Amino acid sequence: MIKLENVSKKFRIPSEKRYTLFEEVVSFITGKRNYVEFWALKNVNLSVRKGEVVGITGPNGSGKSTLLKIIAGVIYPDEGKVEVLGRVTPILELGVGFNPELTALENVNLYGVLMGMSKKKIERKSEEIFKFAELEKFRNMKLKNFSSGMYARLAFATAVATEPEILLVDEVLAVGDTSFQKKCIAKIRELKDNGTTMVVVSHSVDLLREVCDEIYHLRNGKIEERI
Amino acid sequence: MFGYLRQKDVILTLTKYEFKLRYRGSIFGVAWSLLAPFLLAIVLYMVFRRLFEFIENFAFYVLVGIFVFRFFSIATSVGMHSIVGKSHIVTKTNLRREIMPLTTTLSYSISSFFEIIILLPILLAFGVKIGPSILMLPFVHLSYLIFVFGVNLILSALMVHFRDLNQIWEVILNVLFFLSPIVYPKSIVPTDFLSLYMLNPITNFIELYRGMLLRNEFYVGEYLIATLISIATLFVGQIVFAKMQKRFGEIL
Repeated sequence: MIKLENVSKKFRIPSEKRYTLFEEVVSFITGKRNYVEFWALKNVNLSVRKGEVVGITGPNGSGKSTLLKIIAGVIYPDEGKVEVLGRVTPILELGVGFNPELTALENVNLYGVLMGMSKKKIERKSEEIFKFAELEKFRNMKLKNFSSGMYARLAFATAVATEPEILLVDEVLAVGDTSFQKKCIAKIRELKDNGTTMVVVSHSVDLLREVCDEIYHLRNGKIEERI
Repeated sequence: MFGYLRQKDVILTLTKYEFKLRYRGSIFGVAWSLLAPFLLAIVLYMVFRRLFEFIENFAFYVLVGIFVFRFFSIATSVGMHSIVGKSHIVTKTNLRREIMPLTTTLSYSISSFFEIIILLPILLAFGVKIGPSILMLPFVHLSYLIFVFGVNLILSALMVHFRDLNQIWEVILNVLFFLSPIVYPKSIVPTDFLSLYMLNPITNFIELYRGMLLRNEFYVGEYLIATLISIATLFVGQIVFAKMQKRFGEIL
């Protein structure tokens, strides 16, 4: 269950980027602390029931990813209330923490624990992960020799193996070739049937229509309409 | 507050691969990394041996000092990058962020522990008496690890805001090197400054390791003080980190 009440998020964009201590001190003394504020999200209300799949679409910079990151707990809202019940698995990017110097199997272990799986569970699931990714033969190959498609397949297969209660997906369904994309969508449907709550972000409304119960259109940080 | 310590699988797996990648599977990895401290010890020994002739086993006295300081200096100079350097994990997963400085601290504490273990046969070969007090080594190391972790929590959080912190820290480390009794005995510090001087927690650790490795002695009082300071540092670090981590997601 996910519930957002009047959630707003303000980003401060410094007009001059200050990163160093020296620059910070200089700007403090001169009193120049100018930044542009902008609301990435403004009074967003969203509620997703258990087992529901919600799609979010909208133009670039409309706040889709910000919304997902707030649900994931990666960033915190400035105003409003966020309530998330259940274990969250965010796929904001595929293969976070993947290391090219490690083998595929080692990377599955690494990515698996990052996504919240226990070591035992990864061990149990590893067969299934490689099968789903169609990479059984490349288990012990170093990741640097993988093509970007293989890389994405391995990452997606590992991420969905977590059996998440709440899955957040950001624009990662369009990986691999058409047949793998179909597999991804089938997997999302399967998770949905097993009662996984999902929020899926995508530019493609057609793709969202295939899996979502509800689709919201986000524009300038506000939920504009239900499609 | 420290609930993340229960996530054993993540912590151990990340530590394992961090350690593995550092040495890239080379068995001699640890041994190679010992070359620099040994050379430094030899140089410092040559320079200062006349001055401190009265110290027993002066060469090893310096060597142990360098080894102990080294854990702090390397683990913190690498550890301070543990959030900035792994920004993709911070911004794309919901992993507790304390785990990143923790795994770096752990992987360097393991190397440091091995380094000291490698030292033991060398000490024995040169006739240093090693006795039962050596059994306290893991406990002292654990206390030191807690201290370094606390410092890393603060440094890695600050680094997100101040990207030139590493250069400042390098200077501070250089100063700390000479503010710790590595190449000289504590006894040459003027008594007026001694209480100020002892504020440096590394001093206590250096004395503790020297006691165990060179004199078969274990200083209970120093150990308790060092451990108290370590735990206090950890709490301060945890509070600072928890406060600052809220904005990591947007700054990185």
